[in-house]
Amino acid sequence: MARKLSYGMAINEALHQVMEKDERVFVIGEDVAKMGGDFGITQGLWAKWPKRVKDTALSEAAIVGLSCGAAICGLKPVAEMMFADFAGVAFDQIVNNAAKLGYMFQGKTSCGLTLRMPQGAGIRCAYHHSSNVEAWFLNTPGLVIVCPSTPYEAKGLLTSAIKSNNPVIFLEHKKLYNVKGEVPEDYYELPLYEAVVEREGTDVTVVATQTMLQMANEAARTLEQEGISVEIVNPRTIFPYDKETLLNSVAKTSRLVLLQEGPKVGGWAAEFSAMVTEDAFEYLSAPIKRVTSKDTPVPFAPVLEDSVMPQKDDLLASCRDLVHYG
Amino acid sequence: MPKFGLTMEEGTIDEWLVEVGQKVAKGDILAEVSTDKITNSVTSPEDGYMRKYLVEEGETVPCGEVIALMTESAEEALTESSGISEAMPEHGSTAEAVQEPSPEARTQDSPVAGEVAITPRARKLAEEQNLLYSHIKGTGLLGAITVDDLKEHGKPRPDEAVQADVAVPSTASVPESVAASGTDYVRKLSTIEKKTARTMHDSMAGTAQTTIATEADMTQLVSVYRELKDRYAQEGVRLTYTACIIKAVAMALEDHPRIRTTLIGEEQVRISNRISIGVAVDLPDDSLIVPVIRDANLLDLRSIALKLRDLTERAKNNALQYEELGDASITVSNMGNMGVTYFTPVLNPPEGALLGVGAMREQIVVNQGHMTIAPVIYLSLTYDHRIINGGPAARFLEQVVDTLQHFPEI
Repeated sequence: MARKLSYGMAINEALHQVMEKDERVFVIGEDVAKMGGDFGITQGLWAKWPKRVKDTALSEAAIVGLSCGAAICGLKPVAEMMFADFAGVAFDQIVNNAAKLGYMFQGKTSCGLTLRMPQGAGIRCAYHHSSNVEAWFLNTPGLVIVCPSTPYEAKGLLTSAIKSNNPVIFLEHKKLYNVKGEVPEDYYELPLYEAVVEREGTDVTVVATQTMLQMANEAARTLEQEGISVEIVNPRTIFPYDKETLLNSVAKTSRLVLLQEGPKVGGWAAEFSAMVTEDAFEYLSAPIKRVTSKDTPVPFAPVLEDSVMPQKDDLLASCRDLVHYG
Repeated sequence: MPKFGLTMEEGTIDEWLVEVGQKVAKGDILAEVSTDKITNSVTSPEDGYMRKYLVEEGETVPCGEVIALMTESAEEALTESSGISEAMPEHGSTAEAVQEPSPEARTQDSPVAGEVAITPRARKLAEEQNLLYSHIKGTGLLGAITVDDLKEHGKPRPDEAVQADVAVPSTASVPESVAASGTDYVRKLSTIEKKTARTMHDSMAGTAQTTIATEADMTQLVSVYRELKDRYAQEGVRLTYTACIIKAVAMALEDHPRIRTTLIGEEQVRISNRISIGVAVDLPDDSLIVPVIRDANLLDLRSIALKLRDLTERAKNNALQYEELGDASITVSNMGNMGVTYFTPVLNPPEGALLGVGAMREQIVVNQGHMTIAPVIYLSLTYDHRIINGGPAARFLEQVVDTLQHFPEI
């Protein structure tokens, strides 16, 4: 089982295996069929299942709208937005249809579509191709928001997402597509709504996803030399999130730093912070800190893009400040 | 009944020092306890009221047995949970208690680290409001005591919590003075005084002890000693003549098992395999204690000197461990520094012999018709004639002298 697969190919393998298993599953999006996807994630599917992999016109709204209709009729669409930023064009379909249809028919049907989209910055893709979009959908009940961080998670969370009867926004990070990791060959599912403690520690909890996990681990190693023990929690699902794991970690360390790519205002870090303060105030021995991207769109110039991203120095400083607080 | 040392099995309540019905604070001395080796006091583990003694004065019970019942308030009914079997000794720690060094400041903030799991906010409130909480079973995450738990179950800390100090000099209890008649002063015996009186009487009455003595030219020893003393001093080791004598006695004992033989009852003897030397230490309050250097025959002179100094210091500060008393093969008692020459030391039961060391003085020594001046030491050996005869005793003493006269330069 020491086989390694890239994040992108793990997703590809998940799609192959799911389509093999379940004939209700179909794939739809711009250039997903003949081209195999702009990033190559859906390669090989159209050759196997030409009737179940569809290229569309340049219309995100149509992609999602069609998928909602198909879903409530009993199919399992796996739709792709070429870039997460383009989901804005389909916003109405996502928040008004995908999110709500499951509630509207007395349980007689559900809208179990999976909406895959590459998000995230750091590879010089500029303003319209670098957004983190968790926050766009966080405030819409009915949507499930999943952020896999490794090839192992990408495959296992996607199979679960497709299987789920809920509409799942599956946010892949484009900078991770080529990162390799161990991936079991067989079909497997990872539980949605469960967080994972990536690293155990006792002095401060750092919550991070996707590319930020690497920063968190590097910081943890640095801080270990200073005698600060960092616990790293990976939520995996941004909403509905695993409160219990997070609160237990805070109870253990009494300090919390939320490391989140994407703008600070109204991000998932803000939500987690408010929840912890509300439910676990007495377990805290210091305020909660958020280390995030700046509140600006993602610039094109590399130097500017790098400065807008969350900074490791800020993460280190935050952890140290909390440990020495008071 | 606390356990003062790993090998302690039972203790005797010598005296209860609080009345039934009396209010006690955590750390107050409740009773005097003695064992075969050591005396100590039992202190109260909590604030509360003494309600009932379960062990009478003079009674002996095993370690861990409940000896008294205490309650939080004066009136509440006595239940099984009132028993204080976790009573703490006043000096030293109970054998099982292993105090972990307290965690660094920052981890003490976390609820899970530290001895009691409590949320940081609740801990802060407890400090601000002077509440005790270690008795509360926490209902929070990871079993932590929450603010609500504290509000419901926190107990106000009494104004003056008396904390027991580990080392209280000298005797375990201060003798009370009893009303004097006329101009004489009458007081009660302390526990250690009572123990000494019993031991000395039992020794005299229960053995057939007698003493032989000799003098010996210590020229060689003195010159070796002087040289070693300086050398050791540079390493921070203080060498004394007593240490040299202990070494010589330990070496000689290896060849004289009869001297480390003790009578058990009337039918058996025990020959001790380990050679441990008791050293009589005269305490500032005129009482006497005998710490023991274990396996002295296996230690080099340097180690003996270090051990001797350590034990003597701690004996004077009442900081000896239970395991450092008793089970010696022989005791050495040095009265030489007080000018005593010959004396008849009293055996320390159940030992079969005791070496009394007298003064070392410059004297005229006659050797084959020639007079020289040499340092001469006086040695007195008391032995139990029930099992050791004069011959073996004298031969042992002779070897001790011989070893000292040819003291190896180690």
